Order: sequence, then C-alpha cells, then structure tokens
Amino acid sequence: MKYQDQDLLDALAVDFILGAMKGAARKRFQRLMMANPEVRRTVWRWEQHLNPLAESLPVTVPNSAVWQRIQQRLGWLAPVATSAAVAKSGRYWLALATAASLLLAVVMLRPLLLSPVPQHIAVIQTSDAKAWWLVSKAERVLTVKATGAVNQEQLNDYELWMLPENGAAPISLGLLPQQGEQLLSWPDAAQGIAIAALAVSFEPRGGSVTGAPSGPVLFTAEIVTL
Amino acid sequence: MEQSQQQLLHWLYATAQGNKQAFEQLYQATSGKLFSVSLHLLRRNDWAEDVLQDAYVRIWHNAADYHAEKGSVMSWMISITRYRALDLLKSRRVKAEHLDISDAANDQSSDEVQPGEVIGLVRERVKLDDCMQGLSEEHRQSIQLAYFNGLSHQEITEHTGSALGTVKSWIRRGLTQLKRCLEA
Repeated sequence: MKYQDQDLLDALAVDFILGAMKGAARKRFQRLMMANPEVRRTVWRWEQHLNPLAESLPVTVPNSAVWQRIQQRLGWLAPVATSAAVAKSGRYWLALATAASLLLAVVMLRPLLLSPVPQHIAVIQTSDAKAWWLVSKAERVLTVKATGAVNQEQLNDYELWMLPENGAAPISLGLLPQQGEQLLSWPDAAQGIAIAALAVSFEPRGGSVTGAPSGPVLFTAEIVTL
Repeated sequence: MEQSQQQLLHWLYATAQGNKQAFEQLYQATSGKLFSVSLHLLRRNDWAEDVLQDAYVRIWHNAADYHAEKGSVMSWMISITRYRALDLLKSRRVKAEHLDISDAANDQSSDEVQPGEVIGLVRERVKLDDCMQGLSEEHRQSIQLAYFNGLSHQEITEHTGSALGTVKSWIRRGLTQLKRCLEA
C-alpha cells in the first residue's frame, strides 16, 4: 500500500483514532507510525482536530480512590486495603497485623523496656518491614516518633486510629507527624476500651472529616504491652 | 485559555522532572475531563476508572516524550486516555448492550469546574464547533458517535438505521470537509 497519498493517510489516521481500525491492521498501522514520521504527524494532526470534541463533555470528577490507586501504582504509597474494605469492619484489619511487627517492636524499642512505667508500644511498618513510626503509650499520653522512612506528603496527612477489641468503630487518635516526634493525648472516647490494634489511614490535609477513616488504610499494627 | 495551556505545560514539564506535586495538580485539573472521555467510551464506572488510572500512570512515565507537535497538552492526554479505553473496549468485547446514547452517563457530573475553563482546549473547540456546524446532520452525528462512544461503523448503522456503505462514506466525507474547514 502506498502511504504517500495524503487522502488515504488521512482516512487511515481517522480510522485509527476513532477505533474503527482493529486487530492486525491496527498493529500494522502502529508500526508504520513508529517508522514513518509523515504517518505519525498525520495522526497527531487529526488528534488535534478531533480531541476538542471532548470539550463538550461534562466534567465528571472521579472517585478520590482513583488518585490513591495511581499513587500506589507509582510506588508512592504502600499497597493497602481499599477503603471499601475499611468500611466493612474493624476485624478485617486485624488479619493484616503481622507477628513480624511484634518481633521488630521488641528489638527496636529495647530502650523503652528500661522505663519504669508500664508501656504499650507498636511499630507501624510497611509490608517489607520498613518502620515508619514508633508509637508508645504511657498513662494517657501517646508518644509518636516518625522514622526517616515516612513518605513526606504535603497535601495529605496520616491519621492514627485505635481499633477497639469489641469490633466497634475505629477511634481517631490524631494525626501522625511526618517527621520528628509528637505527643498525642489519649482521647476520652478511647479510655477504658480494650485495644485490638492500631491503624493508619491516608487522609486529606487535616485528617478525616467524617469521624471514620475516609482514605485507604495504609498500615495496621498490634500493640505490645511491656 | 492561553494561560491554561501554559499552566498545563508548566505542570507537565515539572512532572517530567519527577515533581509529584505538579503531577497531582495536573491530575486535579484534568482528571474530570479525562474521566468523562473514558466513561463515554466504556459506559461502566469501574472500567472507566481503570482506564483513568492507566492513563495517568502512562502520563507520569511519558511526560518527557510530550512535544508541541503532538498537539496541546490536553489533546495529548485525551489521546492517551482514548487509546487505552479503545484497547479495553476491544479486549472486554463491550457490545451494544451497554449503549444508550441518550443517557449521557454524567450523573456525577460536577459544576465545580466550568467545562473548558482549566482545560486548554477552548479556542480549538470554538473552531471545531464552527466547522462541525457546516456539516450535514448525518455526517456530524456519525462522527460524534464514533468519537465519543467508540462505535464501529457497523454499530453506527444499527443506531442510525443506515447502510454500512452509507455510514462509511458519511464519516469519510464529513471528515474531509471538516479538515478543509479546520486547516483553512
């Protein structure tokens, strides 16, 4: 076939763009685009002619989970449970907490063992065992220390949740620091409730406004009592 | 609009340098339109979301390959999305049962973003509209069905009740006329 003929090229380019060209013909044409700059330019020109048609479409804002998944695919966020699963039950998260975190907690937080006050500690870490935060609780104060591994997010916050053992809804413990150390006070709502685990969700700046995790749950961790 | 093409270009250049924040801004400014493009072709929310994800992952990786000859930034991004959606349409064998042309599939459309405001296509669109107005109704409708809904020539015949040869020639003649007008 001769591709010098501009009318023919136009027709092929349009079929390609509209999707009318299928199967082997489409593959052949894609190869031709790579090999022949004139073919390539014709397609680009027609794309410019036709794509403004899309301007008449209404804007449809995609679910915010799409942006989370894009970031996960680009490796910017740890792969995690979806927010749909989060909504189902707190129990689901417990399954995610691993024994590995317990071991690591003991090794990494040995200095805390010297503390005279009984303590609860947890290590919040990625699935490949990189610790992001060290959490310890004494009385009603939570000390949270960010490690250098935390992905710095300027437009988002990481929110810490307590998962009650009785399966009730998660209780927010506050926002986690992205660097350095921070003290959080244990909320009244969580006082006296047995803790099954901690969880961290990825939230808009300032944290969830719904009172429940609204973004994906990135981490869960069990608590060890010393 | 001149400025918004500049703005998109600015974000895309920064994206090509690995700037995540610029990429997020690009996403925020353009994803509503690209999702609409994807949704119209696929008519299923979950598939349209898959395509949108693929498209942005591709945009992130290929940002440095963009150049002006490929059209405006928005046009380039629309093409990436459309081709991905067409691939999916083919592989999942979406057939006419998903199609209801009168239903605009825009239940969730938001008027927070004014169509065309942020998006860098306004001027081209005005020109295209003018040229589309110059086409006969059949020519215009066939082109729109093929472009927005990814309908094959055969599917367009089912929709318009015309013969296959007629539809083919409508599209071909319509586009020839369109090109003359656009490139005049």
